[in-house]
Amino acid sequence: MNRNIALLFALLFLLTCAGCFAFGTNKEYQPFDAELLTSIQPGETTAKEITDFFGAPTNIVEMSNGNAFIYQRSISKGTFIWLILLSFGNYDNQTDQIVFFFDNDDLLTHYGASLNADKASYGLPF
Amino acid sequence: MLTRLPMDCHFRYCLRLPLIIVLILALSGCISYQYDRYIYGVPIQDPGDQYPLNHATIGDVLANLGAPDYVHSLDNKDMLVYRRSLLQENSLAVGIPVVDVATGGSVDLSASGALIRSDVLTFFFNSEGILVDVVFEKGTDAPYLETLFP
Repeated sequence: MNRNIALLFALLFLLTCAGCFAFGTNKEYQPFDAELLTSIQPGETTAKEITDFFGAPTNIVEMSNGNAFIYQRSISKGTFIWLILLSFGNYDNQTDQIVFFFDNDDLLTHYGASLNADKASYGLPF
Repeated sequence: MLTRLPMDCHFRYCLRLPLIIVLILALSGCISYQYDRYIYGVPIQDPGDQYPLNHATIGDVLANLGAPDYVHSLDNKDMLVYRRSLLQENSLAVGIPVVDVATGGSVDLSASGALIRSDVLTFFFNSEGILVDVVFEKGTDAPYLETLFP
């Protein structure tokens, strides 16, 4: 009798454990060409050249003394665990982002780059 | 003729029944607890006095911290915003399907709470690109429960 109950519980447990772990990746991503960044010179590079190099910006912001072109790529990695009573999820979203600042003559004044998309990682939420 | 179960056997049966009921409820998904965490962005440090007001430029900040997460302009000032967010979500659900048979309805209790805490570093520049103000807030250090239930 006890053996049958133990067998039943073991069977139920195995059925419940099906699909316990899952990993997922969500990409809005194509890597930036680092070589292109070395060829960019503030005071010389124009907005036209930037769009030729990097394509259409993700966003454009009007600044007090010109414009900012924002390029963004992102990677999200998710880890999911389903147990009998408990389930856990961990989502890590990191981005590659470059912002170019132009004056009113569309000449590049500054730019900043944060390339962190490769830091997105799988993991537990605790 | 009545037969009685031995005392220890009776006790074991009494314990086993609620245990089986709880297990069946749990296995059918009627009781569940879920915890999710979302992270957006990389850690942000307090800049302290690293960027002196009226001296540091937008170029200094971009060279040290890279691209900001957000760029805004207001009242002839420009803002660079660096942000890291941490979202934590807990949910507990309890359902008793036995009530479906008895009343046609069902008892389904669930509770959930989500909390987003952010570290935000904001730089304000005048139209010449000179730093005029810095604001830093370390939101992720705030205690979870006291922030969720103030």
